[in-house]
Formats: sequence, C-alpha cells, structure tokens
Amino acid sequence: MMGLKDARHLATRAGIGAPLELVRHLAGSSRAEAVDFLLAQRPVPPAPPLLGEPAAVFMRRRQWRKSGQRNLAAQDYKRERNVLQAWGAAALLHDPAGLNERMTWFWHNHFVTSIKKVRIARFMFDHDAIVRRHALGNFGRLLHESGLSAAMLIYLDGQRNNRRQPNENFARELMELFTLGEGHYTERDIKEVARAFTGWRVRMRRGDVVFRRRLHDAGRKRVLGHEGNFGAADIFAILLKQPRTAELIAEKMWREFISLAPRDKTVIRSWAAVFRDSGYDIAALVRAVLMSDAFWDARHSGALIKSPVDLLIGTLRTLQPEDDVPPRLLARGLKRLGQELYAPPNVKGWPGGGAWIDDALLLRREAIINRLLRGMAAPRQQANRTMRDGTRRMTTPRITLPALPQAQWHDWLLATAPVIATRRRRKLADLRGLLRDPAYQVK
Amino acid sequence: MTRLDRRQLLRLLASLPALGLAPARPLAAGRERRILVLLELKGGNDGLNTLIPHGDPAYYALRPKLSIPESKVLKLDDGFGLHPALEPLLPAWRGGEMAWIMGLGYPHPNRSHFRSIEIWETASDPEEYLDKGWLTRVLPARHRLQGISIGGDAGPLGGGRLNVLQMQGLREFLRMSRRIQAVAAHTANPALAHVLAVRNRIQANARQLARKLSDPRLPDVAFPKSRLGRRLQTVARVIASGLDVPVFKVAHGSFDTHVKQPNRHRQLLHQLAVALAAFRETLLRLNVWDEVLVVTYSEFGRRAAENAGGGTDHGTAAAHLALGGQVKGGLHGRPPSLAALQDGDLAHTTDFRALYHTIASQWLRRPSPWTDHQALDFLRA
Repeated sequence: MMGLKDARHLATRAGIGAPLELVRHLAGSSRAEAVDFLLAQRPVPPAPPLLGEPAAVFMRRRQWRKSGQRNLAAQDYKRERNVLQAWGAAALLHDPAGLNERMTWFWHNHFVTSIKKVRIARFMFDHDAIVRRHALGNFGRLLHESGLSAAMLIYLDGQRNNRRQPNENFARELMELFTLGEGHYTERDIKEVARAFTGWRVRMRRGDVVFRRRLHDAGRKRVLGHEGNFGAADIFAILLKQPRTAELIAEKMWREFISLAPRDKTVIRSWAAVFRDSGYDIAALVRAVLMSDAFWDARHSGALIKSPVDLLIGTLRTLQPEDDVPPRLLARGLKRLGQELYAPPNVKGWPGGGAWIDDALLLRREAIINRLLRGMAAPRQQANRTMRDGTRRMTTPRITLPALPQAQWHDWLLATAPVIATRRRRKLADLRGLLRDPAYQVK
Repeated sequence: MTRLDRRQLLRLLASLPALGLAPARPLAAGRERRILVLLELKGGNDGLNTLIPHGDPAYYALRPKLSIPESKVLKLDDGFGLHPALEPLLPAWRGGEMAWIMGLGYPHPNRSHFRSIEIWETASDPEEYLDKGWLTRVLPARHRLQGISIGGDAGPLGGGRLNVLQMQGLREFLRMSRRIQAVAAHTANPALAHVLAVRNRIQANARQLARKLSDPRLPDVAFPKSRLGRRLQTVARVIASGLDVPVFKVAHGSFDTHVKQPNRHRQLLHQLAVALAAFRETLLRLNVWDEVLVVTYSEFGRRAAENAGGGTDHGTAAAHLALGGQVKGGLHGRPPSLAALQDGDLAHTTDFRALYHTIASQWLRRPSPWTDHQALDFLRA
C-alpha cells in the first residue's frame, strides 16, 4: 500500500492531474500493481471529430482561392482546426488513467507536426491516430508510420523531396530530433538519407500517400557505415540499430517524468538498455521509468513544472466539476497558456520546463486558476452565464468540495510544501489557498 | 536660421519651466538614453501601398483596383510617396526625422505568417531554428527591466534571458499583478525556484511601474483612443517617467488584407500615423525625441499584383519605417524592381539583418552578431 502521497505523485506524473477516484485506487495498491494498472488502461478515444475528407477539403479551398474568396478558405481552415483541437482537449479530459494521453502528447512533441503548416485537419487527425495507437506500443512502428504519414510528409517537406532535387528537411530532423541527436551523424549521412526517402508523396487531389518509383533515387547510399540501395524502411532499420536512438528517448523520459535537473547518466543507460532489449517496447520503457528509484526519489518531488495541460486539464480532472466545460474553451485556454494543441511552435516542439512560465504566462496561469476557483460552491446563477442564443456557456463550472478529509488535501494537491498558503479552518479558503500557492505550479 | 520649425519651437517651449511643460529628467546628466521602439505590423503589411512607387507605371498595371491614384499619393520624391492615410506623419518627413528602408527581406522567403515572423524575430536563416530573439542576442543580461512588450509576445526579446515585461495593456497588467504577492522563499528545487523568481520579478516590475507612473508631473498629451494610441501612450509615459527601459515592442494590426484591402489598410495606416504623430509630439515636448528610435517590421510584404478579392496575398520584401530625433530622413536602400518579380513577388534588396546590424552597432552600441552584413546609413552619428 503506497498511500495518498505516492498515489498523487504517480497520478499527476504518469497521468494528468489527481482525480480523486484514481488516486484512492492507486493508494490501496503496491507501486508495481499501480504501475501495471496504469499501463493496462487503454482508453477508447472519443468518437472521431467531424472533419472533411482531405481531397474534398483541398479541392474546395483551392476553388475558393482561385475565385478570390480566400476568406472562405481561411474560415474553413479555422473551423476544422477548432474542431480538431476541441476533440484533442476532450480526449485529454476523459482518459480515466491519463497515461495513454500523456504518452500520446509526449510523442506528438517528439514526432512533431503542426496544423499551421499541414493545413488539413484530417491529416493531423490521421497522424494523431498513429501516435495514439502506438503511444505505449512499439517505437519502431511508430517511427515508421509517423515518418511516412501525410502530415509528416507535408510538415517536413517530403512533398518536395525528389531524385533531381533532394530536400533534406525530413532527413535532418529524423536524425537530429527523432532518433540519434545532434553530433551523431554527418552532413553526408543527411544527404544520403534524403535520397533514400525520395518518392514518397501525398496526392492532395486523392488525399492519400503513395510511393512514386520514378521520383525515387534507387542508387546506392552510404549511411552510418552501411551501404546499399536503401529506401525508407532500410533507413528506419539502420537508425533503430544505433544505441543512441534508445538513449535519446530515455533522456527525454527523464525530463518528462523525473526532473528538470540534469539527468543521471547511469539511469539513462539502464533505461536505454531496457528499451533496446525489449525491441523498442514503449510500455517496457515506461514501466522501467515508473518503477525506478529516481522516479520515487523524494528529491525529485516537485521538480517538474506543470505544462498547460497539467495545469488546466489536470485541475479540472482533479476537482471534477459538476458541469462540463465545453472542450472548445479548454482548447482556447491551452492556447492562451502556450500549448495550442496540434500547433507546437516549431519542429523542436514545445521546449517545456522553465519555458512554460514567463511573466505573461504566469499571470495567465494564475488568472485561469482564479477563474476556476470562482465556480467553487457558487450558486448556479452566478457560476453560469446564459448566452444570447439560449445555450449555456460555462465560464466557471460549479465545483463542490472534495470528499476527502481536509487534513489530507495538502498531500492530494501539492508535491511540495506550500510557500504562502497557511492552514485555514474554512474549507473553501483552505482549498483556494492550496491551489493559488506557487507550489501548485509544480508537480 | 530663418524661421523656427515646429520641432524647434516645441523644444524651446519645453525649455521653459514656467509653462509647466518641462519634464522630469531624473537621469544623471551626461548619460544618454538610447531607446528602441519596435512596432510590429502584424499579419504582413502591404509595403507597396504604404511607400508607393507612383513613378512606376508597372505599379498601376499590377494593381488596377488597389493602386492609389497618383494625384492622392503624398509624394516624397518623383518616384515614391506615402499612402494618403499617413498624412499626419508628414511633419516628421519635413523635419528630416523619417527614413524609409526599401526592399527589406531575406533569401528563400517563407510565406507562412507563423514561420516568417519567427525568422524576423530571431534573425535566423530560413532553414534555421533559433530559440532566442535577435535583441536577446544583442542586449546584456541584467537584473533591471530590459523590455516591455505591449499587445503581443516577447518576440525579438524572447528566449528567457532578459527581464521582459509582457502586457496586453497597462491597466490590466497592474490589476492582475496586484494579486501577486512577493515571497522571499529559498528553495533547492529548481522548478519551484523558477516559479518564485518569475513571480517576484512581475511583482517588482509592477510596483516600480505603478510608482513611477503615478508621478503627477507627467505631461498629459492627448493620444488617439485607438488600441495603438493607448499602447504608444503607455510607452511615452514610461519613457517620460525616466524609467530606464531600452526596448519597447508594440503590436499593431492585423494587416493580413487578403480581401477588401482598401478600407482596412487605410484605417490601419491612419491609426498608425495619428498615434505615431502624438507619440512624436509628446517626446519632442519632453525633449527626449533624440533618445528614441521607432522602427516598424512585419513578417512579409504582400504580392505585387492584387488578387481577385480586392486584396493581396502573402508576399516577400517590403519597405519599413524608421522614425526618431536622430534619424537621417530620406529613402534608403534600393527599391525592388517591379519589372523583375520572382514568382510574382518582390525580390528583396536589403537583408533585414543589415537593419538589425545597424541598430545593434550604431543605436544600441552593442557588439552585433551580424557583422557579415553592411550597416545602413539612416542614423546620425
């Protein structure tokens, strides 16, 4: 039995927020049981969003642009982007255990694509489905499927890569960001890998991905000491043979699950070994991370800064408001806090850590927490606002006080001692104090 | 000297304390402030309809509907003139305080708003991703407030190294930051330490701003009620307060005029000109106009030809404006040729990093990271 404190630690770090029911369940298990429980949960994502078929969307926007109705094309893009982002926010909110969502977004921030360049929401959704399917599955398959998806081909200019004029964008990021890391390949490797990926194309008028033999450079390539008439699959296989690939992922896991402080090299090596020996089974790696001494080391508690997803979605998951918050508002809130879903700042993804909090963002984080708190125990007419069209739109969902002894709230909500908050007799004031404390910004 | 121009007159007035116009000059004598005000024209300003090549028939051929008739152009010389909405800026032009730098852009232009503004703000190559804003690379790290960004992100001041204050507006910032209390907590936890450091910085900046800006001696100049007007008024008040903030970034727009451009563009340029004119007048009155350099920038210009929807699409190079007491007025650089478009776009004639190089080395007097670019000649001494 690991108790409330450890259960909160596991729930907020492996999942998102500390839903009371989940925390209670974990608290009654051993660490191994709890980790196995989280890994066994495979949530059914919400029904897919209503997005246009890529070919139809492409053609209608092209038509609009040609006829000088660019604003219609732009509106169409915004509408579909909003639908996708709201869907993503809802999925984050509703995954019971949260681990699958955490890993989904971990991989979105690894195999980065952005709707701002891809433009077609359905392509982004298809890529999301790949990431989601393999979030705790096999890294090799994830690498392969993500790398040849329509979204990735568009995002990293695979569309412009052909035998006459190879485009190195994807080849470079494949090695620098997805597998080996900087300094473990040469410029020549990049050129050769770019050649191996020539020929893959998204047919915009059909909305599918095809391999075009006549655009492909079938000649010999030399990559990282291997030589042959390589194509995409061969390159993925070569990269998976390199020990650096598993290490790079293990290093990212440290920053995701353990601490912003420098990583422990022996720990990284042991995780990388587990990952490689399992044939790149992500669940095996996650188990090794969550069962490691580093993960449970008290020195690392509170050593991670909450992402906007942790803060906004996590708080809602923790407090379980009675009213639903429209996912569209959640997506907008995440954008305001610096984590616009499906639109990371660039190919490196969200830098995270200290970058989640600067002057402007901290004020917004405080404001959003205050807004949520205003809904606590507020009478319905104050909490909700009626929109002109008669549909209710929640600005402040009603929240009732948690069914947990007040003495345990601190362990349930904070990873480290409060900086400002003092114990209050009045329950509402006590809860407010804990959520407004700077310590609530870390996990 | 045969006659006093407006500027000299204002200076003279400002030197007369009896008129109640003399500003507080809290800075130590002999220390010269150098203030940079960056004005981001969000969305991509149409350079061709801002600084108009009215002497070039090709301009009228490319834009049968959108071109500004020659009779309405505010002519600066035989070749170029300003959009009529910029009329309030003419005194600055006549005073020799307004420079236009033509054909600013970069090779292999990117037409995505998102990516191109990132290139401009980090001064990267088109295929390069940099984490730090260009001014973050130029300014020294110091404890005091180094920049204030109003209405947008930190942009050129981004990257985390500088003490930069971002706000939507002054009142909102002061209201929100009142809720934040400073805490003197020492912690070994680097994550929590970061949170506390940012809190304390907001708190200190807000306290300092509130104190300085409550000074009743600040002159009360009428600024236009537009959002840009209020933002530039805040900048003027901070400058007047004597607070030593070297950089301000103010956002204006959106200039993304794909459709129905004429009205929208006229409004935006008018707001810009009226607000800048009030800004100039205030700083002249305060006798600090020589300490200020205003420069505009935008992610790109727009296509040379108009589109079918009465607007223009994302383009490449554009002219930008520099304004200030130490600016060498005139047209600088070479205009892109309308006869030699590249894929329908203007080919840039001056790399935007040459502008940054000039600002860094000549205005801010800091080592410039862009020494491979040649400095432009739009600043006095």
